[in-house]
Amino acid sequence: MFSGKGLDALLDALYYAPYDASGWQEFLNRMVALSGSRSARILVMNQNADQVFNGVQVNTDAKAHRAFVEHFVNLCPWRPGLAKLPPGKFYSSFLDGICDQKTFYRSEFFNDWARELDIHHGASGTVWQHGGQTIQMFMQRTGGQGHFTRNETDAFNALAPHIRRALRLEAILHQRQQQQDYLEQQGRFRAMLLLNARGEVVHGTEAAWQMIRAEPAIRLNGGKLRLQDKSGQDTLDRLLTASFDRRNRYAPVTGGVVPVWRYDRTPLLIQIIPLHPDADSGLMPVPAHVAIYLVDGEQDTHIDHDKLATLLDLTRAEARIAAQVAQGDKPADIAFRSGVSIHTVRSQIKSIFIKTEVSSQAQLAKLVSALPVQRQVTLDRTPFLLTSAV
Amino acid sequence: MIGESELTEVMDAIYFAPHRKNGWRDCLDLINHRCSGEVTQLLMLDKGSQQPIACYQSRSAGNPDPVDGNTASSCRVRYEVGSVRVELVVLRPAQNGVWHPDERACIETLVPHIARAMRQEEASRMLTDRQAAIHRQKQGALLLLDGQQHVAFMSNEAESLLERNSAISLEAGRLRLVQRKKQQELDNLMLRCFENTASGMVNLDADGPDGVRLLVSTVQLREEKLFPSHGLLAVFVVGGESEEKNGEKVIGKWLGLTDSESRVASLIAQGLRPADIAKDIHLSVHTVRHHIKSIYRKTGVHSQSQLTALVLNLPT
Repeated sequence: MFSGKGLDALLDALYYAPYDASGWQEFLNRMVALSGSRSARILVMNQNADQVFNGVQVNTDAKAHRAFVEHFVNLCPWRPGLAKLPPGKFYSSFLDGICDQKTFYRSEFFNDWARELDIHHGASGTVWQHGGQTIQMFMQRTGGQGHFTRNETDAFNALAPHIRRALRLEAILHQRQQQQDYLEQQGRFRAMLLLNARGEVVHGTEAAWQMIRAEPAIRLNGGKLRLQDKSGQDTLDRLLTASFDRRNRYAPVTGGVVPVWRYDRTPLLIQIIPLHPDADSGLMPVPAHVAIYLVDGEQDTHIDHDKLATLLDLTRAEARIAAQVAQGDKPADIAFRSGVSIHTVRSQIKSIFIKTEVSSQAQLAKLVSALPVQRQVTLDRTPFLLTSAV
Repeated sequence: MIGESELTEVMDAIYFAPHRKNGWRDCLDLINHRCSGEVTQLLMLDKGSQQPIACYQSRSAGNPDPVDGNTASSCRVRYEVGSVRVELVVLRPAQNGVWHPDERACIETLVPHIARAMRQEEASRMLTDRQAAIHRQKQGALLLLDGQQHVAFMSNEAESLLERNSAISLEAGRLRLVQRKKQQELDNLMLRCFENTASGMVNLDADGPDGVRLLVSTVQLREEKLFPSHGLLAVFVVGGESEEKNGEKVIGKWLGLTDSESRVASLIAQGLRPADIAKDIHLSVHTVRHHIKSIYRKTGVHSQSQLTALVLNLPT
């Protein structure tokens, strides 16, 4: 049933599924076409397989799928049989005694649900059990299509390890994506761009796009970074060429900094860092991809009080004082500025000391500076033409 | 040569290679080992231009010289898909026997999978790049732990701090504290942070020479009904002598400064005033000021605070 080009295309679809939003749907489509089934579904369920978290289906309309998930998933006569058989394999409902055909036709499941969709035979299996999760896959046939033969069931079973592997890839990618998003928000400066080996911008963080939109001296042209300043552009091109040049003898290139001059302001700094792929550079010179960080020297560093409060488990007032102490302010100044008595400030500092288990202001400063609570803030600038009007 | 479970192991290595550090090299090591080979090479070529796109080689089994054709037999498999050609070569020393047709057939079945995984690597390339870019940024000593409390991410600073510190270590991918009582405390804290959005601290003799604090904070709650590894905690390691002394070299390399200029730049970044710096490195204030001016000219910054921001943000 599965062979040659068809199998190759099916495996391609399967292993691409984790990388693509509609990937699993595409895989199921091919599965139905190749196996000569009427419909198919993959269900993501809890440990006992009685609660459905997620699923994709082919050829059952949304209403039928919802009815199946909400009610019939527990009545499906194939499932109790499945629970008694070893997981990780597919079974034909007709051959493996999951539920014999007579019993199936008498079941509430068939009469209320499957008859309407003309479903008569099935092949199903628990593909994957991982911790608290059970993933089952069903292929269903109508009356005219006959039951799943031994050979066909064996072909599904040959596919099972690949499905499990693709599901693990899905889990790995999901976890990586989440870590990545968190880390990119943590970075001390979040304006980051990624360039591919052709020098085109392929990824940018929100902060980076904001900076580029606000800065007339930097443009994007055909996916490439363009600087207004000719000599800056030359330096940028030189650094990029050096990073991408696969014949470069001096690899790994270390990158550099290009200042973007701005009228009446300090320059914006473009940091270029080549990222060397995980290839064997001893065997062949590998072109790097490039990360670019935009550093605005005029941005002020503020300490995020909310974040500090969450991290150190302080009240909001305590976090504000902890931040001020960390920046070198004396208790008397803090008291004067916030209009409270120095005794209040001192008692708050004391409770900060107790909560954070430090015993001096220097230690507190060290603690705060090690946490990712600094935030870059662009200072408000009055437009030139309005300065006299204010 | 390769049975059912070995085949699964090899296929796992192939498909997970794009997501692991040195994944392809480990994968080739495994294939090499299973085939009793001397060395295994993997090459991906552009079919039109014959230009190599990627190339990997297994770690040599002790003999650094490439084996010449007389004493070794090779198994070479080519596979073409789309516009690329993938080549896998396994060299086997003569004393390990000749290639059996079944063995060749087995290698041949592997290559289409390798080609598929290599094409997928392109798809995950962006994520890999984002990860590498983040690794180059200064994060402080930060670790991310998944729901199984395995270390999923470790910043460069955290790595070097753990190396130097004797009170904490990594054991089977988890954080291990020398003091059992503290370990208990840390485990309880992590459990709490997985169940509710929370944060807390474990203090490891913070005033001692090796003293550090571990600050644990929730990133994502653990969802039992999904995976056991679901959930994410951030662990900040605070304290210890984490100030690196080799910063000057990095500064010089990055900003194109001379040795004395980078020394001055690094001292300014530590908050010293020109007069202090002059006293520190036995130069006149005028020389220091001269250095600072040429630093400004070379880097394009206009003030000491900007220079501090720049230096602190340089990649490691």
